[in-house]
Amino acid sequence: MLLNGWKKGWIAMLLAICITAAGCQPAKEAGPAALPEANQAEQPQEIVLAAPRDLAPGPKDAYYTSLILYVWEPLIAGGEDGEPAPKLAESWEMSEDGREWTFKLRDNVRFHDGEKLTADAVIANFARYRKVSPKSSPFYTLNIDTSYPGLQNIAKVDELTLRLSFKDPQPTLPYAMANFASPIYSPNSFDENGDFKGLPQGTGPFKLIEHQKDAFALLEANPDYYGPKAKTGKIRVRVIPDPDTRLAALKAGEIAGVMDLGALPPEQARELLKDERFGVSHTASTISHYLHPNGKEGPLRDVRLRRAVSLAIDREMIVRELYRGYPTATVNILNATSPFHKELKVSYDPAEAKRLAGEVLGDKRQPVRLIVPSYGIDRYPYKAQAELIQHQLKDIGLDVEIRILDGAAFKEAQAKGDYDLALATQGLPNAEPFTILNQYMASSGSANKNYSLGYSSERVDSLLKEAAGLLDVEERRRIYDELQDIAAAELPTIPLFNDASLIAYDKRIQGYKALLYGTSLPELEWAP
Amino acid sequence: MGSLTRYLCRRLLAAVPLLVGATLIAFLLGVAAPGDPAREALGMSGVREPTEQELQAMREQLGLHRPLAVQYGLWLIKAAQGDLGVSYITKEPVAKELLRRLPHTLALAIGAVLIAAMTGIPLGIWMAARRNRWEDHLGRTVALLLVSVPGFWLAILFILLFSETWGLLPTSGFGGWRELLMPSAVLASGTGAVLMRLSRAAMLEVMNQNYMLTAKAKGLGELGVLIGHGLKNMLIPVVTVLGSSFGGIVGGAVIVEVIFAIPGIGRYAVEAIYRRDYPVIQGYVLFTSIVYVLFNLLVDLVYTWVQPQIRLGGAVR
Amino acid sequence: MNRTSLLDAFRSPMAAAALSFLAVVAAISAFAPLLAPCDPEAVDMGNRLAPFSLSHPLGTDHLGRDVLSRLLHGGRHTLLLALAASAATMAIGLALGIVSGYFGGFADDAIQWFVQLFQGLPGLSFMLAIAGTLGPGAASLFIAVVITSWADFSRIVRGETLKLREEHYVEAVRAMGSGHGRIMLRHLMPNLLGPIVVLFTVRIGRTMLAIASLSFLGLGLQPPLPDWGVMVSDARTYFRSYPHLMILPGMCIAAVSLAINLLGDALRDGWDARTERNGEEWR
Repeated sequence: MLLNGWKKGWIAMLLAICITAAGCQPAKEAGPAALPEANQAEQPQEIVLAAPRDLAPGPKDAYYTSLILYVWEPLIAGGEDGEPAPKLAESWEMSEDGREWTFKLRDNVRFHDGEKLTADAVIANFARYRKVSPKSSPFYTLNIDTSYPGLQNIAKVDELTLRLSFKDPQPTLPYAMANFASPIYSPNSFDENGDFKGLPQGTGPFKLIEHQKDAFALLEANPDYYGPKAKTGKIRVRVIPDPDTRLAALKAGEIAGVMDLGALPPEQARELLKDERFGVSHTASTISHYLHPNGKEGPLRDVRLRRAVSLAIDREMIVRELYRGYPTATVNILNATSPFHKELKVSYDPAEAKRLAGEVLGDKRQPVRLIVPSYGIDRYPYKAQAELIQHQLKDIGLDVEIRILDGAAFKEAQAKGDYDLALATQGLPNAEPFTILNQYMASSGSANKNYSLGYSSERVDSLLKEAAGLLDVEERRRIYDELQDIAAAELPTIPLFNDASLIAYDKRIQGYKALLYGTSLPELEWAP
Repeated sequence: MGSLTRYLCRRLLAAVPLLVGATLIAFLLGVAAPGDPAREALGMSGVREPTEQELQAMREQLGLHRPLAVQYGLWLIKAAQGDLGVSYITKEPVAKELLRRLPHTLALAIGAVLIAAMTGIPLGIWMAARRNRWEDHLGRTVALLLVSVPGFWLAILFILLFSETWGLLPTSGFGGWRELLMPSAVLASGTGAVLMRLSRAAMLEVMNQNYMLTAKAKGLGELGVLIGHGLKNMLIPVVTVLGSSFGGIVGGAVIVEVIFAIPGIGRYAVEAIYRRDYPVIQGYVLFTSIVYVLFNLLVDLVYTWVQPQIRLGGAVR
Repeated sequence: MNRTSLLDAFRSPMAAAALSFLAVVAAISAFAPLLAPCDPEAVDMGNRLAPFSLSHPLGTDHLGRDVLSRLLHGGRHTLLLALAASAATMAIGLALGIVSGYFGGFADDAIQWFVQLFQGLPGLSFMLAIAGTLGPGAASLFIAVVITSWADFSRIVRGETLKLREEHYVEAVRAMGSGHGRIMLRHLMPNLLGPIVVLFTVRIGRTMLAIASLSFLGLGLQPPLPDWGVMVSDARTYFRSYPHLMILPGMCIAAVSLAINLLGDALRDGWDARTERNGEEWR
């Protein structure tokens, strides 16, 4: 029969499609929890937030989750003022010679799996650091040799006290240990390789109860937390990589807020605030933006040209127009959240810039390659910023060619010196400036080398050496002041501005604020 | 069925050099690209950039110091046993990650194919019925318009309309048919337009022939006959288009996956490309090539089942 | 005989309209520097996101640049790139397709193996990988498009060649002693022109969209080139308050794409008409 053939064909196709469709049912119903109309006080309602990346990379990651999910806690936390603040370590003391540090742990703290926090537990964690270092993570590289250089011995003094002994004096250890350098998990929660067995068992106000990679992380309040309990029963953090989709999700009521780096591009904040339903919270961030010059070869080797570039860029305008005024312009290599930060005057002087450039270039125009990392395009208005800088540098005789490179190519171009100017960010790893000043300004500093900054100064090298041995805070501050002045004058790199952490939320929730690092998740709750 | 199994084996065997070739290209591309996976693997460390020794150590750990042929050869041997290695960045096994994400991309592809078929074919038939009248021209223009508009533009527009303004559909994520609807629709637009044209032409052809007289003589309903014969006529080209479209979506759903926050293999691959995660890139190419080969096979098998006079392995007419 | 029937296609009003539209676009793109009121790259931060006015009929973008001027310039690079890439794809696909279809046997098998290899590669991801390897910019876009598209092309050319090979007149010419090269060039190629031209137009349209997609992902044409795809991508952040910044360039892409596709369609109709008249099956 004529009809048989085609009938068979269509049935076959439909069957094939149905079978594959049935077999491919995604396992979990992730279902966006739309915000409820009425506030049901009795039931623990789930609050849904979104982040641009997966904040829980998983069991093979150095940390399993980011600090900002409040699942695990460090011995020492970074306080809002930049100084080290007690967390799992209640107090600490340095020995006379600076080679020994004694830590007293907080009492009555339990991990999520019920184990008690003791000195033994902490020592087991340090053994884990030793085993896995250096272990990479999207947030930070866990490396016992960088955070605890020359650590020779860890001794238990009593159930809640331990002592770390170092080869050389470590006057700034608490700064280096803050946050990501001292994560403490239950010793039963990781195996002999340092990988996690199952979900992470920390001490934080939230437990991670469910996790789907690149989709969401589900947090539940920890009822046995030693401090103020989390105000919401459940928080789900979804992964929405695209910034515009995040905005749409906010406006559609699918999520109640956003978190993490780059969660809310500044222009979107302005857009969002036009709608009365939403609020924005911001605070100074530890991240700064720089324009790295290639000091090893090329026209930017000449400090006069670097000064010209620095003077020619209208930082205030960039901050005001492209970033909607949230960040702060700066010429200081050190981020303002460090307590050692020194106020330096920001100057914008196109006339002087032109004169200086003229000294170096004469009448000729100089082509300049500006490279931009592609991660900056989504997170920040880097493209517009690059075009703006291009426009501003035209006036002083520089013809800027912009190249957007993906992450790996960008790093390689920096390492090889295959550029003249590069837009980049730098997070302050800890409030003690030594690390960052050393990496950027010492002749052998790794940032100096890896970014081809080509900076070298005998005075700076000797100052840094001196600071490394000083135990007295005030003397160190004196040296750091001088280093900041030198950096502003000699421009190993050209600082642009200190960023602000910017997050948005639906006004149906309250208590959601941006913090120096992360957000105030434990205080988040439905508004009455 | 002996000849069928022989045919299958021959086809699958012939596919193997293809898979090797595709992954070799991916390997070479990855190697030629600027950027050092060792540097990427050492990750962000705040300030401290990796020293030359650390980089060397990581390179050795990842096996990058070995000659290229050896690296690829080792990968190939392990891949043949099902071990696609471990991601340089996350250290998770590649095969497991790909398998975890594949269903999402497949769901997208199936959704797209279904939407394209269920809208394209009826519309095409209708256009044939209204040949050369305004509905026909309108349909043709709409079809062409769909093919002319960039996918991400459509996606943004859809989200704005259906999620923000009308609150009908969720903006992103996955888990049910509602989340799949918009991204599948975006992916289906091109194929749907092609199917409209196809089915219209096939129907017209049928209408030009004399089936009508025979059918009327037998007393069957005019419409039923028309459509029946039309469907038969268009079966092969439709199956071809759907097959290649399926393969195309699996390999090209990247932008849709990013915008709609769907954790599929496309997004996974793009991130791997950015970070020079060679094992993931190669595993991804392997997966998509396998899907492509399997689908071609499926399409060919459907041909032979439907029209047995086409001999296996021979040219189509 | 083919040429006349192809030209017949232009009698259709849609095709004629499409062709004239494209001619206008080409002219505008070529003469943009003369037509545009302002420098498309002139940044003016004091006048950002300005509404329509006499000096800026379509307003300004987020860096104060004149939108109208950028739109006028916007087609050049994409169109040129799309044309060049499609031409190269066509050349390679044509050459390999004819050789494959005509000679058959080992050459055919070998070439087809490569065709299958490249067809199976995941399209957009591969273009990304190539752009990553070669660095962003027009050159790598060109190479990426050619590498990912030639296979489809050659496959269709091969199919057509297979059909034509069986025609009687080819046998006759062979019997008269014509060399292979001559047959392929003089006799096969002209007859392939029909489907080739159709495919070519489709390819240009798809290439334009591919370039726009890559620009969207940040790895396409580099700033500050005024390009429609780049303009759409840039305007995304602002489009809720200033929708015209995204709609206008998007419409330009769609309009040119549409015209190209309409043209291709009309040509295909002309070709199909010819084949139907010859009594061949609709393929």
